[in-house]
Amino acid sequence: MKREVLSDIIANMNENRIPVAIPSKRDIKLGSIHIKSEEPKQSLADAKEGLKKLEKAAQQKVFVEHDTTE
Amino acid sequence: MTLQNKPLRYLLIDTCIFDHIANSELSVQIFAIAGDAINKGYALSLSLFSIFEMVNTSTVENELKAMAAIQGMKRFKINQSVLLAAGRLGEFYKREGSDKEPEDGDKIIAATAVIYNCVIFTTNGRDFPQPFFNVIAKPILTYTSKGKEIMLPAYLIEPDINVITRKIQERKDEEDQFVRNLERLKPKSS
Repeated sequence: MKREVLSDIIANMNENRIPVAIPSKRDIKLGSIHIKSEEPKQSLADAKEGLKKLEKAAQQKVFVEHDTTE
Repeated sequence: MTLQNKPLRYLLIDTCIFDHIANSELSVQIFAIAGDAINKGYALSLSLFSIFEMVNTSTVENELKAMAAIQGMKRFKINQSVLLAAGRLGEFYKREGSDKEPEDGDKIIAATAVIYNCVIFTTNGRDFPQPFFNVIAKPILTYTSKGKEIMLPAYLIEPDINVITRKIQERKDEEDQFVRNLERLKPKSS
C-alpha cells in the first residue's frame, strides 16, 4: 500500500475516534455567568442502563424522523 | 478501548440526534457511537431545550414514551448563566461574521455545553462554529435514501473554554467601562 494512502487511512481513523474523557475542574465566575463543569454522579452501569432505555424506545419508534439534511 | 469505572464528563446529545435515531439504519450507528463514548468515560445528557423540541407538537402517547426513554440521562436546566452565555455567544458569532447564525435553541444548547463543559454530539456542526468550538471527532454515518447511500457526518464538539472565557471577560470589561462612563456623565451634586 502506498505510504500516502496509508497515512490518509490513519488520519481518517484518528478523526473518527472518540477521545477518552478527561475530567475538567472549572469554576469561573464572569459577572453573572458562572462556568462550572459538572462531573456525572451516575455510575457506568447507570449510564449503560440509560442507553439501553433509549435504544428500546428507538426500536419502538418513539422518536419521530425528520429531514436528515442540515 | 478504555473502560472507565465512572463517567467523567457529559456528552450533550443535540436534538437532531433524537430525530436521526428514528431512522433504523442511523439508529444502529448512533448507539454504537454513544456506547463507545460511555466506555470512554462519558455519560449521556441533554438540555431541557431539546425536551421542548421533542415534545413540541407531540401526541400524548409519544410525549410520555419519550420522557420515559430519557429518564437515564442527565437533563440540564436552562438557568440565568445558560441564557446569558447564549446571548453572549450570539453577539460573539455576529462579531466574528459567521455566515450562518445559529438559531436561538442552538445557542442555548451551545451555552449549556459551555457552562457545564460538555462534549456535544450532533450532525449540525455549523451550529457550533469555530473559534468557540472545536471538533474532536467526526464519525461518518450512512443511510439509504431512494436507493442511494447517503453520508451524514456526525460531530463530537467541545467548547474552547479559553477562547470563550476571554471573550466574556472582554465583554465584561466593556460593560464596566460603559458603567464608569455613565457615572462620569451623572450631574455632580453640589
